[in-house]
Order: sequence, then C-alpha cells, then structure tokens
Amino acid sequence: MKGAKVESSKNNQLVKVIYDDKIVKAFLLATLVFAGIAFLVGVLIALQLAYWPFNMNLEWFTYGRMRPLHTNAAIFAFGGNAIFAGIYYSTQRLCKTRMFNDTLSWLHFWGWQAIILSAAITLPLGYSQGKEYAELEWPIDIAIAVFWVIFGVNFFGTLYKRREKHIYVALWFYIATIITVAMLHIVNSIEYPVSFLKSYPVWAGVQDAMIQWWYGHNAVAFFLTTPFLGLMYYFVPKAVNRPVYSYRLSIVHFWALIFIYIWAGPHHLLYTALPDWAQTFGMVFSVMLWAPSWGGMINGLLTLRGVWHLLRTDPIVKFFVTAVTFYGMSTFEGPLLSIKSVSHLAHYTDWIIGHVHGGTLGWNGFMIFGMTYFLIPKLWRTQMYSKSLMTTHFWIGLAGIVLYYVSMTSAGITQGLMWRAMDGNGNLLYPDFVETVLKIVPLYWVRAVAGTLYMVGFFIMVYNVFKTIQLAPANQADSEVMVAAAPKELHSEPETGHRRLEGLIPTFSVLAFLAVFVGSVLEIYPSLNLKQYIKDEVPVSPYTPLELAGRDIYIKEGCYTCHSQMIRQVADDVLRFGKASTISESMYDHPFQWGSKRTGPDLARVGKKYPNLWHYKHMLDPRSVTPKSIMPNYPWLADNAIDFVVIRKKVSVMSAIGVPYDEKTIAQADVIAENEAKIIAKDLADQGITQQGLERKEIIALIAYMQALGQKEKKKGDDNGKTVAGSL
Amino acid sequence: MAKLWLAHFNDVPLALAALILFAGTFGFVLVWTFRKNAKPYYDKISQIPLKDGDDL
Repeated sequence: MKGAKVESSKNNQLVKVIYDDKIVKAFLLATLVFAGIAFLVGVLIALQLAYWPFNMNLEWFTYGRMRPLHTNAAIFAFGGNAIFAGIYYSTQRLCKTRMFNDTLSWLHFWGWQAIILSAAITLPLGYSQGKEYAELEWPIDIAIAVFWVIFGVNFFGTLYKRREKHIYVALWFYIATIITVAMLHIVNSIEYPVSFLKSYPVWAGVQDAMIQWWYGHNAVAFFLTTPFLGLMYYFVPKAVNRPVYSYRLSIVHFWALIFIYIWAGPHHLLYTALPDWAQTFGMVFSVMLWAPSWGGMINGLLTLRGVWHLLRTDPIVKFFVTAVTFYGMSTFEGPLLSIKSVSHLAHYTDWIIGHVHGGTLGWNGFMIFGMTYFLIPKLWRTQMYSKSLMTTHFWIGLAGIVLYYVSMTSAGITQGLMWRAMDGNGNLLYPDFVETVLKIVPLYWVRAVAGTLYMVGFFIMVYNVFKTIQLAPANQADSEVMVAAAPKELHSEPETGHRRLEGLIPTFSVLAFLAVFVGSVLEIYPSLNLKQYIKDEVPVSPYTPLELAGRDIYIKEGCYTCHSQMIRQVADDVLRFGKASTISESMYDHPFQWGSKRTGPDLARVGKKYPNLWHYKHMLDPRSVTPKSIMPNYPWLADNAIDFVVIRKKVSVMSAIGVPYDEKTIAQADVIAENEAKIIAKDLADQGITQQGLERKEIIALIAYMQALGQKEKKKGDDNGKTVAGSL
Repeated sequence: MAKLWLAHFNDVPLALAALILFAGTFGFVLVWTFRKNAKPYYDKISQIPLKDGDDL
C-alpha cells in the first residue's frame, strides 16, 4: 500500500491522505487532445457529406473510414478519458483514500491511450468489423477488455479500502458502468479470427443485430449516461456547494434506470425482420425510460435550489445546467423516437443524427467542459486564466449545438416525409432517392458550420486551459487532506434493507449486475434460437467465395455508414426498394449489415437490378451513372488486388461458425473465387472495359457482392443449399 | 384497442417475466427508499461530496 502517503495524527484520530492528482491530470489532458481530434474529424465528415470532393479521392481519408474514426474518438477517446478523469478524482474523495494502486492507474492510462492510437491507425486503413461503435478488430477488443478489467480492479480496490462507510450514489453509477460495459463489450465482441487484423463475429443476421444494438444502445446508456450521471451527482453539488436535491430520488433513479435501459436496444430495429415481441419490448421499455431519466434530470437541476443566481455569474454552472437540460431533452426525444410510428418517419434519417449530437455535444460535451473548468484550477492550484473566455466558449458552443440540432432534425423530418410521400394512386412522389438527398444538402452545410462553431468554442477552452497551466505555480504536490482514520459511522442505529446494502460493495455489485443481466438474457436468449423464426421452405445460400471477399470490401470501406440492407415492413420502403427483408436472408451474415442510416439508398435488393458495368462505373465515379450523387469516388478499388489466398481461410472460418459450406468449397475457395472473378471481368471487357488484370481487382469482388444482395433465397428446383461450388 | 396492443406481446411468458421483474425491483426500491424516518439518514449521506476535506 502507498502507506508512506498516510500519516497518523493520534490526537484527533485523523490520517493524512494524499490523493493521486497526477493520474487525473493525465486523463484530463488526454481528454482535451482527443476532443480536438474527434471534433476535427467530425467537421471533416460533415464537409464530406455537404461537398463530396472533400473526400479527396484518398482511400484512407474517405467518409466511410473517417466516420467510424469520428464516433470512436468522440465516444471512447474524448468521452472515455473524461470519464476516467472524473472517476479517478471523485472516487478518491468520496472514499477518502488514494486510488488502490498507482501502477494499475498508470497501466490503465497508457493502455487506454494505446488502444486509441491503435484505433486511429487501423480504422483509416479499413480494418473494421463493420459494427457501429464496435468496429475495432479482435486484438484491440482483447486489449479493451484487459485494460477495462485493470480499471475495474483498481476501482473496486479503492472502494474496498475506503474510509467512508457508505458509497455515495455517484459511485453506484460508476459500479454499474464498469460491470455493464464489460458484459456488453465481451458478448458483442465474441469473434473468430481470420488473420491478425480480420475476424468474423460468431453472431449472424438477426442474432448479430439484436446483440449489436443491445450493445450499441447500452454503450449510450452505460458509457455516455451512467458514468456522466455519476459525475453529475458529484460535480454539480460541488460546483454549487449544495447537496443533491433528493438523495432518495437518486436511489430510485439508479435502480429504475439500469434495469430499464438494458431492454431498450431493439428500438433501433423497429419494423425490421427482428421478431415482433422484441420490437415491442424495445419500444415499451424505451418509453418507460422517460420516468427515471427525467427524475434524474429534475434531481440535477433542483440541486441549484436557492442558488439559481449562480447561473448568471458562474460559467461552470452554466455548463452543468445546460448539460443536464440537454440530458432531459435527449431522454425525452429518445423514447419519443422509439415509438414505432415515429420511428417509421425518423429511422435512417438525419433526425437520429441530430438526436445523438444533442446528447453527445450537449449532455456529454458540456458536462466534460464544466468538469474541466472545475478541475483545472483545483489540480493546478490556481484560478482560470480568463472567466470571460469561459463564458465565450459557453455561448459559441451552445450556438453550435442548437444550430446542429435544428439543421439535422429539419433535414431528417424533411427527408423522412419525402420518402413516404405518395400521390393519390399510391405511387411514390419522390421515387428518385437522390432527389431526397439533394433537398437536404444545404442543411448539411449548416451542420458543418454548427460543428465548426462548437469546435471553435472548444479551442478557446484549450487556449484558456493552456494559459492557466502556464501561469500556475511550478512543482506542485498532490492534494493532501486529513480524514477520519476508520470508516465513518453515519449513525448509530442498526441498518437494514437498502441502507445496509449501500455499504456492502460485493452484494450491491451483484445486484446491479443482476439488474442488467436478467433483462439481457430474457431479451437475447430467444433470438439465439434462429430456427423458431426461419421457415425451412425458404432456404438461403451462403455467399460464394468471391461474394464473401466483396462483402469484406464493403465492410472495409464502411459502406454501412451510408447504406442500409434492411427493407422495413412499411409501405413506402417496400414501394421504393422491393419486398420487405426477411429474417432468413441475413442468416449467414457475419456481421449483419442492416445499417442505421440512409445517406444513400437501401441495398438489400440491389442485386441484378443493374448490370455489372453500371456498378463498375458507379464505384469509380458515381456521378457518371447518378448525376448529382454525393457518394465519394472509389478509384483505388480498380487498383487494389484481391487477396485470393486468404479467401480459403475466410470460408473455412465461416464454416466453423455455422455457415454451411461443403468441403470442396472450403478446399478450393480461392480457385472458385478466381473463376467467378474471370466471369465478371469478361462481362466488363465485352462492354469495353479494357483494364489489364481486372479480374484480380477489388472492384470485381465488390460487384459480385452487390449482385448477390437479395438473390440468396433459393428458388424451387435449386439444390439443398449445402454446396456453393456446385452452383458455379 | 387493448387487444390490438396485447397482440404485439406475442411471447406472453417473456412479457410477464419482464414486467414482474421490473415491478418487483421498482416496488422494492421504492418501499425501502421512502420508508418512514429515512429522510434524515439520506440527507446525511448527500453531504458526503461536500465534506471530502478537499475544498481547496
């Protein structure tokens, strides 16, 4: 134990505790560095959507690869480092002890930064699993699990040696975060490696969709909500020097929130091929979330009772109050969007993007900025360099968020209404998809301006922080405080029920785990048994080896960030894209590619809709076949060679995780793929494409995959679906 | 109308299990948290962040 840092003072039975402020400083500075990167990439992709030439025709710079970098940087680098800074600071003070182990603290810090660096390298290079917010490949997934466990050990170790008997409500939220994120990450990341940076998830189709959105939504819940609520319950009372409005309300808030949130994932899959009961559960539990979420918001805001004047004078309070207000707005809008009829309009549109950014920029961002302005002077023992710059940051940032939210919500509702608009005969009023995109491009420019405003506000903060640290006294020691030597008894009466539970960390943690685990099992378990939902009379063929290679290119280029592969069971989707997608069609999709956004049209039934030549031209220059398209060019697809050798390994892995390839197909996958490629290349050559060695280029594999979409349900007279090689 | 709503809960045991679990958890927390004489106790706990000895 860092016993040297604890000194006794026997007269008053106090001990001197030296908090580890260096680790808090490190995480806080890392937060600022990665916030800058996340915001810069965010503005870049906003510009790429507004004006496609900003993609620069560069492989590693194009939207499909930058967007995962933006989301991962914003959530795990900016948000993650901020959470750790806040947790390390508040946990030590709420427990009145130094962190459990300094080595674990620094292992956690450097491990997390290494993970972020790995993501920043691999995502632009196209190493992706194709699952939103879970794109990172398997070695990085393992590293995330390892360093998360290190963080957990350090955190629970600190709770174990605490000098405060009761664990304050903020710590409950941290406990739920640590336990649930571990569970979500591990289950969603169960994958089978193909090579050092390529793997396939063991889950497929609807299973993968269910697990991914159980993970995805609860990444929002347990990475961007519960830890921030913990920070709110600590930092807002500290900032206004008042206890939380109602401690009892915080208890109800905690248990109701963690129990309900875990069920809400399927609201991302309404009207899809997901079984109806799961969709209904997702919707009902999402609507129920209104109550605990607003209970928490009210609790946060009413903490200012009697000191509302601080809102006028204290920039930190401005940030906190606005953050909590955005929490309330986002958690009102989220359940609203989960209602099936509203989801019909909003899903796949920019309304969702507006909703998400209201939460991240408003709730998470402003909480982090408020916390940073609170911590910097305390950690560096000085005053902020400029209070007026803090206020300027606040107003510019707020203007950016409002402009962002209004532009994206308007864009989403506009496009959603255009997609569903029909004339008196039941025909689509806007059958040309690109027409609905062009309508909202001006709003994409407004969004880019909004993002730039938010980023400018942030850089003002960076300057302010830099000047503050520059002017701070040098050679600072960690904070020292005198605290009671033994765990403090808050009252002398015997404890029962929840009161007793609050002091029992293992029991409390197990109950919190059960609250999230039981809901997860009840919701996920039935969907693991696909057979009960898939009709035997409509068998599906697996992808051929070349189609599989093409699918990996689709994932590598991040096509899922703009295209869905799920025609919903709603009239306008069916009219526009064809028969609603069935649960069987994606049963061999490792990973599923249903998507969550339609910047371009749905592709579930694009196979055989256009000739090979159309796809060839479309990939190299989308505007040659779809004038005014905003899709980037992909010229490198005609230059990069297909790795035929690895296809055999890919098919073999697919077979190992349940895709019914026969022995012959596995053994000759590369040869089969080469033969398939020659057929497509010859077709293109017959139509005037004279590129040498075209049959070995990635574009051929991608065309093969495009042509397979919606074509895999076997028709009467086909074989029993056990062989692919035989059908070539 | 009620029939229309219930038709969407087409897995009755699952729906019942979920709702009973939630009602049980929520009810238990509510009863314990708002039991008689609990307020002064929780008021004391809510002071913890304000008395962490580090108000530099």
